[in-house]
Amino acid sequence: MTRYCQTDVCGNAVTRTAISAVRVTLLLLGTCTNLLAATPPETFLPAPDTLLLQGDAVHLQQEAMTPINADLLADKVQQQLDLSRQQGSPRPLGAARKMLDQLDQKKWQARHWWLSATVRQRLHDFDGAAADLFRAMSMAPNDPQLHFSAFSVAMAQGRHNDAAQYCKRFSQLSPGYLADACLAEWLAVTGKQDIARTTLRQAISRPDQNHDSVGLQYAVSTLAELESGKRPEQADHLWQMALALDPEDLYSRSHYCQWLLAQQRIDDVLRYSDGYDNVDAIAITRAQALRLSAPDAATALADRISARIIQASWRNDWLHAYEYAVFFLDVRPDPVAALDMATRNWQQQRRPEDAALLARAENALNTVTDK
Amino acid sequence: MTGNRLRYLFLALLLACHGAMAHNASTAFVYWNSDNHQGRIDIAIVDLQQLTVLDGDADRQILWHEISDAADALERSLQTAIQVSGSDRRCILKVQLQGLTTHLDEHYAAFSLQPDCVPDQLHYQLLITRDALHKALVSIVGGDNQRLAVLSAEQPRLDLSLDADSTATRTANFLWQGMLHLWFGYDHMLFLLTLILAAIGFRGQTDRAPLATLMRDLAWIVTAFTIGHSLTLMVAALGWWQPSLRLVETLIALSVSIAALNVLYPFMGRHTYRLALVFGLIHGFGFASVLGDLLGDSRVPLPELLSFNVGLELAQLCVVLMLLPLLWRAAARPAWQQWMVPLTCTGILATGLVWTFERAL
Repeated sequence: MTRYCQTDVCGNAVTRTAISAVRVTLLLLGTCTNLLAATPPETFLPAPDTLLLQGDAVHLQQEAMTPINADLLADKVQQQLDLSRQQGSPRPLGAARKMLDQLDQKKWQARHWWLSATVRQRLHDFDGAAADLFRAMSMAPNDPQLHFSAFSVAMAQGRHNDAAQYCKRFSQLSPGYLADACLAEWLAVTGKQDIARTTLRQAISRPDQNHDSVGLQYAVSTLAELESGKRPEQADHLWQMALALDPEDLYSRSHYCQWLLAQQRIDDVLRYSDGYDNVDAIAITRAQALRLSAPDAATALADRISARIIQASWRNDWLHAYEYAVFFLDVRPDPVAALDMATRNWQQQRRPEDAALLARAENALNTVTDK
Repeated sequence: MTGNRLRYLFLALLLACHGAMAHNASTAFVYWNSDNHQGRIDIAIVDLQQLTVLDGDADRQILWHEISDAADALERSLQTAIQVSGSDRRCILKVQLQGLTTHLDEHYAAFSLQPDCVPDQLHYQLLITRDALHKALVSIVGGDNQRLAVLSAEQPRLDLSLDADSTATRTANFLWQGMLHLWFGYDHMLFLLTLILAAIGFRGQTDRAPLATLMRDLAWIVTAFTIGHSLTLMVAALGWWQPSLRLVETLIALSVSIAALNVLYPFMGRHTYRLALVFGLIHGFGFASVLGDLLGDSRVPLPELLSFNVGLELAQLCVVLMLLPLLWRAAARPAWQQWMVPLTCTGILATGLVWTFERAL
């Protein structure tokens, strides 16, 4: 097995910035040109009472740009962020960004900077998010949630020392499940998985005096991730517990599906991923499971995901680069495209799993090249 | 913990960096036919709400008849937000609701676009004032050709001709990528640095050559390097021959060490350009390792390939122009011979060897 380039993942990623840009350009100009039909899709006239849209998306979009004062504007932005989470969609983030831009930054309070950081982080602009959080913390240094947000950003960027500082401060300001979870996350990425697991197990077994179900759910899903590679029975139980606490948590659902797939529990993957084809991370895991059980359905789903990737490349929008790299490694093998996506993802996020994915993509390409 | 704080913390969980998100950001599709100078725009139903009130009965449902009832208002909004102009005047654009269509399982309303003149420019203001992420994906077709483009808040104007970016923009893009590749490719940069150091001289050269002479000599050396890598880049990128990537990367790493050794012990004498030429051949395969199979998909690879090479050469010359005067001045100091060059070259030599082992194993 070729191992070259595996050991210097971080450094090579810098070099690959230019390479990736060329590849993406070519993907856009070359591959897409071939794949996209020159003619637009057919139109038709539906029956007058055909339902096209319903639910929260109908009203919130209309109200989005109503002129409002600074506090109301922050509330509206927060609504858009809630909507983005509920729908698992980045669409409301664009409106949120535009709303924030309406207000002169001289009038921004800590909350506005934090909301701006949240939008930026959701869009994987971690440098921008870190800068916004820095401004917010200068205004409200004792707001625990700013430190928790800064912890998340630092972890995503691989700044583990900074993350430790933010987690420590957050723990002082707001002890509880989230504080235990951030400590465990930090311990895990710095090689102390056993201590991390023990810390979180003890935290979760404590009585929940604050009735912090959100913090508990976060801690449980974090522990589930930590147990995934060590104690399968515990991991299974914890993932189910996390989903029971918040069935709409797409993060837990996608990771649970991936874990089930690794355990070869194909039927369970299909059960937990059913109805989530619009969520890339879950759909790709489902496509992998379908390959083993229903190849025709797998092909249909893979075609739909391919269409999304083509649209993303046309938009030059790489928010889901991690998932697309997995797609090109495990569903529609294409080592060049996989390395493109893994490199693109590495430019955005520097978590251990991002490094592992990049190394995997490099190996896949090296294997093909060596042949 | 207060309820408000809890709510904040709940939102903080959004910050977990995962990709479990569905759908795309707001996207419209513009199809333009440059043969009959007519087009179509598809807008997501969820986005149409930004243009006018659709859910008049406030039942939180949007039915097709609500779209068709609002057709006049929607068409007026589109006429305002999408402007097309010819060489001498702004065209009057007729917009008409055409029907329903789908993109990635999402409902879109399709509107035909019919200008009253032959337009060559499109100015797009739709939705971008309300949604920072909104983009319009444009497909321009004519005969057997197609061009893709993107309209956004940053780039609201578009040339509607088919060849607007087929050569000029792509060539400029590859030129820029060539420059970037050298600047960010630190193994190539280190090799270039050793060539500069070798040209300035180190051991036994107490009387320094004039800067102009050095510049001329170095220009030849760098050009030799460019000739070398251009040849193999072309050979590999056009698919004629591509050696094992691992071998190439290993040799590139080794070339850095050998070039550093040549500074400390100038075994090439005044013939450093030969070293540059030979190792340029190897570096060219490295440059081509990615471009090769990708340019295979390109319809006209040669212009891009040439511009990529020109970009590399320009980047090299920039580095030489920036570094040479500084290093030339530094070479006048005793420290140059005592520790600056030995330390730098030993470091480069060691780095090259580490890379060599890493890449070879």
